[in-house]
Amino acid sequence: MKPRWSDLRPFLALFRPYLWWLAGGLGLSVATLTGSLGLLGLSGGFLTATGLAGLVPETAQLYNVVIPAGGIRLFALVRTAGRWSERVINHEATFRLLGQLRVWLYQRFSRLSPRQLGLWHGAEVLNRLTRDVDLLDNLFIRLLAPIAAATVVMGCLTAVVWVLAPSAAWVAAALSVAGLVVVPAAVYLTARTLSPRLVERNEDLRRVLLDLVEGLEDSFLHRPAWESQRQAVREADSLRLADQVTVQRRGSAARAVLVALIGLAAWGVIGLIASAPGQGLDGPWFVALTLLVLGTGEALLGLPAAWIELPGTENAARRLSELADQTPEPAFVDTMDPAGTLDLTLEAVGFEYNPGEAVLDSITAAWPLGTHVALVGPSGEGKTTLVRLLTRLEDPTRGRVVLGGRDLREWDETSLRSAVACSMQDPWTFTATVAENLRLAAPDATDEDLLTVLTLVGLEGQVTAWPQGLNTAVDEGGQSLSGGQRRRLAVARALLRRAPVTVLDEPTEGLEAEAALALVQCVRKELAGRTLVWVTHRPQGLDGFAQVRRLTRGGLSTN
Amino acid sequence: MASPPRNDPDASLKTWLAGRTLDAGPWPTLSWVAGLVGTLGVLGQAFVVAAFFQGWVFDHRTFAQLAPWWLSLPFTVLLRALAGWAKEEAGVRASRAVRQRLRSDLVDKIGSLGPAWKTGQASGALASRLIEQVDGLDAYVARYLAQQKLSMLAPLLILAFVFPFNWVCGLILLGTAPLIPMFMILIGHGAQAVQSRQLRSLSKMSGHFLDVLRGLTTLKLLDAHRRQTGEIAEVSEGFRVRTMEVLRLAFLSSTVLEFFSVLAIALTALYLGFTLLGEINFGVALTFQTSLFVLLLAPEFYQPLRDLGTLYHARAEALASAGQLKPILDAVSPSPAGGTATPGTGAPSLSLRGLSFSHVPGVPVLRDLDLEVKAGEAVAVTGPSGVGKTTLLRLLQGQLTAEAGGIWVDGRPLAELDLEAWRARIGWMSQHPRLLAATLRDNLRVARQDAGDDELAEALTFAGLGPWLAALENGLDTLLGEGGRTVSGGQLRRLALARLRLRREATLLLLDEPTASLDDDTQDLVLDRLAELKRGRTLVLLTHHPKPLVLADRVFALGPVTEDDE
Repeated sequence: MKPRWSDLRPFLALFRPYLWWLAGGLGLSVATLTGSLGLLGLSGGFLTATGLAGLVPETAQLYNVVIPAGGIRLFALVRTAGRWSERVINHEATFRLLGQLRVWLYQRFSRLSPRQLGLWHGAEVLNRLTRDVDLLDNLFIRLLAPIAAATVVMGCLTAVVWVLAPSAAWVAAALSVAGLVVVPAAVYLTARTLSPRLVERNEDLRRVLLDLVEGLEDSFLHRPAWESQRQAVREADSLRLADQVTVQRRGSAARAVLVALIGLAAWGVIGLIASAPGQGLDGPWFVALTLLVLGTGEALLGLPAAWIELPGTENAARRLSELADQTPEPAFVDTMDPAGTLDLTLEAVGFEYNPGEAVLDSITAAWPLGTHVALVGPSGEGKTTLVRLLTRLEDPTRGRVVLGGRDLREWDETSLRSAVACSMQDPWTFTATVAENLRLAAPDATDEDLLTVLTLVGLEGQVTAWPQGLNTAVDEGGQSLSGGQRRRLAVARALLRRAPVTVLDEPTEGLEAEAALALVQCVRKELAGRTLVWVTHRPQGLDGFAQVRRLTRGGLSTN
Repeated sequence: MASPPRNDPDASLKTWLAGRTLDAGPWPTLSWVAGLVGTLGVLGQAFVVAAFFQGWVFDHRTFAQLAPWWLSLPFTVLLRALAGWAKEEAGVRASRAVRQRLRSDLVDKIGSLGPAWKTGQASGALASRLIEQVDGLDAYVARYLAQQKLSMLAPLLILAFVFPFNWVCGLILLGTAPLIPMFMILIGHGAQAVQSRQLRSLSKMSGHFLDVLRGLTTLKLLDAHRRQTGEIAEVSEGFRVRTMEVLRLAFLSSTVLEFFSVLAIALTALYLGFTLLGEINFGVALTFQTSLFVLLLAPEFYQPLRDLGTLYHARAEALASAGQLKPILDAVSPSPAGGTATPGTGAPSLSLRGLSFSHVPGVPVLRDLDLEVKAGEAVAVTGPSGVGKTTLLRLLQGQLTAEAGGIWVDGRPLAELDLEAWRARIGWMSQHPRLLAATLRDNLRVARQDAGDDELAEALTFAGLGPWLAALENGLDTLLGEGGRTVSGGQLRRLALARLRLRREATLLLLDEPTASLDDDTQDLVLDRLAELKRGRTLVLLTHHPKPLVLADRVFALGPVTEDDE
């Protein structure tokens, strides 16, 4: 699908609160360009005037140098100061927009389910998403500001030529149209036509590279298979590079055409003024005009690069809009009627991600409040999917999950989260301190509360041994913690919720057998009288559970 | 006090980059040569324009008399435009050559590093590195390299023309450029500071945003996702305030360059103007033509340097990419070099003596392992996860090099064998078979490239996938994997079985948990077919389930390495 200008519309609306900043930035860009052109024009005119005056000693004495010399200094100052403040203001505006953009996107994304955001498919989806956001960050500073400033300056220039030498005005107008519309349009249309193909080529290359890397286990044993995959990568790479080069070449061609057009425009202005007899344009103005036209490169030559980038930015905008505009699914009701005793029942629950491929098929179970149940079974989608259904990250395709006598679909979000605490199989640890990570679950928890719950999961000793204790910063993605530590931190978070129902998916993964046993015992003791759903593939230490059930696609069986 | 020499972390990356750009051949040179030709065009243009106005304003010539000057102007314009185009075209070609070669080298390197190295890498991230980081060299090779040369040479060329006309103007230009190299350092440091700060704070902010999104499921479960909105706004605001503080100062460095460039124009104009008026006299005769010529050149004198300033991010980006890619090319392959001896064609006997291996120095996974497998024997290696079973299979495939001890095949050290030929004799079934995003045919040919369609169909039937194949509308051309047809876990395992069937030349079968997470029916089928495949072959099987033990003649229990447990 070809990108369109309208793809940017929702994002342009975000600019509204910052219109004054943008206008200021634009004004300064225009001032800088004006200073630049004015300096050239005035210098040329001044030189010619002094040259003429200097021919005769008397006129040389009378020539007033104060105004032009002052003008030259003024333009020089405007250009220098303008360049600096333009950059400062434009960056300031961009940074403000950037925050706005992220808040806006986050508000929309956070309504959606993890599946809708593609989170089940790993990190690549999100990496791409942040790349798209980064592209939009540059929308104003790299694309819109230079285009707008060039338009204003070229308009002014045309007006100046029209006043001074009407016969040559059409040349300046033609240069403006060519430089602002025709050449950019040609570049933009090429880039837009090629843009979907570039995306496709990119995906092709990514796919064959992934195959090459993932298939290494097999192809390492069979040289011809490796050779064929290697060849596939080289071909995909060549095709992609060829398209990239095509776009770059259009950019070079556009710049060359602009350089030629600017020179030819100056040539035309010279010819038209000089060949029109009795025009009466005196020497200094004539030279000044010529230099002004020659100087427009400053405003125009950067535009092709901006227009080439635009389709990619439009594409990014469309992908983000498509993602953000989804209707939340599952969607939560705003208010609910009070629930009864929080017994949990599964009524013939079935689930499929793709139609016809059931992951769960008719699961039925009843767990009264206070039941401790262990779910075991081989690794695969089944157990984790059931956890997603219990926490309503997904709705069952068939049947229903009932809590407190109400279908989960009738629960509002906050009530459900207060009723059901959960730590998923792959809990995320945020780049923040340990305490901040824990307080996500309970913002008002005191340090003692945190240490108590850390004791329960067996982390207290390790955390207090760190020099910064609870305030120890965790690296990106929890890399500074071991898998077992991350897991236990997540369990601690779930316990901090103090919910009547707690669901823990593989809480002992990455723990030594002994530590795993201790964790089961502590958690069970803590949750006495409350419901616990303990999902694991480790059969050890489950003796105390009221129910130990084996989950297979067809249903739950007693182990 | 003697301080140790400052270690520039970028130095080795710079050297590496310079080495990689050699692949561009003559294109970078042609690019700056074209740039210099463009400067000649600029000089010509200035000369013609100055001559025209001298004639028109001062010598009172008619337009017809000046026609030769006027008519020659378009030629100088075209020269300039064409040279500009050539400069960019050469850059584009240079970049394409460098990137193509680099990507191909990286792929080859990954091939030689092998699967054992790959397990330490996330496939998606690795693919991204090969795409985006390689592209990170683009602007550097295509434009920066040539511009760097040009920013030195073009001003010199202009000076060479200005000095003979008027040495005072030459001095003004030179004087406002107190040695261009100093400027380059200035821009370098300034621009680099700006770029790296901006990049770093941007990436920090993006990092926070990414962090929150990646943890969105966790946040939702804690009912904390709504509270994050304010935090995102706060973090962005904080980054803005801090970054702008730095940027306001950092932008000054490029403003200095701007200032000198403006100063050169203004001073030249004023000096020339006052000289023409007769108010200044350095004893240099000055015509209007010379003055205008010099004035037209003043902005061009600085243009290449300013262009370089806008390209500085290209260098930073290229260095960042180098930092990502060089470690791959520098990685030492974990697999042994191998020798030249051809392995025998019959079922091999294996003997592992005193075999030790550790992924992290000091934390052995295998220690002093002794295992004898007779030719044609089937041995099951059992033990809890994490005791090095998979490592054992990697050592047998020559993916890893033993730390101590060794492996003997038919009495000959593995290290003496031609490892490629040895690997061709191995049939391998992974615990997690990979599905390629390709046709069913290509997915099977991973095992044997030259297999014909009937052989592929036979292998599928053998693996119990005959009815499935028959039901596929496009047969062997059916696209599987990403963007194609999905297959279930059981079907995937049977595909792996079909792949194993295709490896006719294999004399050693290595099976990693062949029945894990399969339903009972599929387990039975897989075990039944494996029993057929193992005939006349040596077999090593890893499992911690009891069922696959029916394949084994003998069970070898692998225990964890005890001692030194911390």
